[in-house]
Amino acid sequence: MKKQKTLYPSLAGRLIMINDLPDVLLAEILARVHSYRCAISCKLVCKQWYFLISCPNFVSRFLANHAQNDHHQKHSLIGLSVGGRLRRRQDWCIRFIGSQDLESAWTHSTSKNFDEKSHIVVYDPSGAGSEKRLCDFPAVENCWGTGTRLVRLGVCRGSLRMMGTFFSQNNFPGRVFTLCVWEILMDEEDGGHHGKVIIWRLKHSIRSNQMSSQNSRLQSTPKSEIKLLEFDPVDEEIVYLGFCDCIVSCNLTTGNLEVVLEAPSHFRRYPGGSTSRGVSNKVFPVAHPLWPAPLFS
Amino acid sequence: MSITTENNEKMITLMSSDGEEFVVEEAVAAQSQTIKHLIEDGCSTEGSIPLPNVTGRVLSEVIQYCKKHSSSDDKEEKELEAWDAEFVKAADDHVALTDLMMAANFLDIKGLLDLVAQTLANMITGKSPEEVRRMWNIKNDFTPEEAEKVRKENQWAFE
Repeated sequence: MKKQKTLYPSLAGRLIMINDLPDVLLAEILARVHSYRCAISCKLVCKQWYFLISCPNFVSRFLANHAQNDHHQKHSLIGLSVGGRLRRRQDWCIRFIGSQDLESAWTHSTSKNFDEKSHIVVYDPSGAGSEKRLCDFPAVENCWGTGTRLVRLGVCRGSLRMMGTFFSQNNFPGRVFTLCVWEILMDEEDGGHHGKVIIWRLKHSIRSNQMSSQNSRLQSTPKSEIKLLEFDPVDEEIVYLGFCDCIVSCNLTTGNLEVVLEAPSHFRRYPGGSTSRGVSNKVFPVAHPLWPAPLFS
Repeated sequence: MSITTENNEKMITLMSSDGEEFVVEEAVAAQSQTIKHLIEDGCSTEGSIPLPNVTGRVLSEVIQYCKKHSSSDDKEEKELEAWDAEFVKAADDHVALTDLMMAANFLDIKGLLDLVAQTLANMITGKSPEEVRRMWNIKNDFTPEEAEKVRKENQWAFE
């Protein structure tokens, strides 16, 4: 900084440095940095900053500031929810915040089946740019649409992701399917009516017959019975699937499946056997902190 | 003490912590919610309003801001924004922005508080933790192990 203490002779002895500010004012400053990524990197400055930024109250403050500044600074506070079946109260909602690259995101989501006509509704709950926009689901060539298969949204490394399973048109109703994972991107280029274009970028795609496991029980479970549960918050290659009675991690590159957790017996709806309905898809990401930060062990 | 000017504007005297006196129009002083309430409660009828938390140097900046903002109406928003930017840049050379922020907080002038907080936030944005520490002479009180842990916890933000 160009200023030196000596510039303020009359204030000598009582010059307030930034860390002498009351916590409430320092937090007010930190909640105004331009991006979530920047706020997170400020955690490393010192312990006082770390605690202020880690505090759950900081989230609402950050959001409030950035919602206000939305149209000035292109910080968007956006919500997503799936249309089509909203009437049937099967709606779910994702909200995420970030600058142009949506570097930060978090979600309140449950998953739902939806039909091919469904869209994602994008809206800005802050009311700043309150028009709603529709975003199509990603198309998969020669595949049977999103169909009635499960799709799940989540967050990995601060970015919004979606996974879904697809049956090949030729193979329907065969048991081989493809598991695809996309990341959402905001394209700044003018998309005609809307300004920003929302696009899905395919990150991984793996066929169910490429998935393998040392565990004989997983081997014998029909892959078509898997349920999509969650994204690993940090490891881009890992997603969690429900297999029979187990929660299984799936490496999207190698196809390796590993049992993470076996459901306690009283949670099994149809104990034993591969006909079990197994792990419910109503697994909520309860450990996702309020603050859009990944989860760590 | 309240005196009245030619155009019937009521004047208020503000006294800084170091004894400096500033005579301003009531409408200017009332930009501060704290002063406004003091006036409403009748605290200004005798003598001046003491502001024990604000030095004369800082108070003179604050008054400059309040003068501008009491004389501008909403239509001039664009012009006012540009003025604010110039003001805070100039103020940065005369007083510590943190002092100005403390004063804005104590005097309850929301616009000024927002302006200074955003200016300080802009100074942080885009800097590495090390650069931020150097800028404000902040001591790094993490042990190397702790710093590594924080970095690991938030790995994706540091890439």
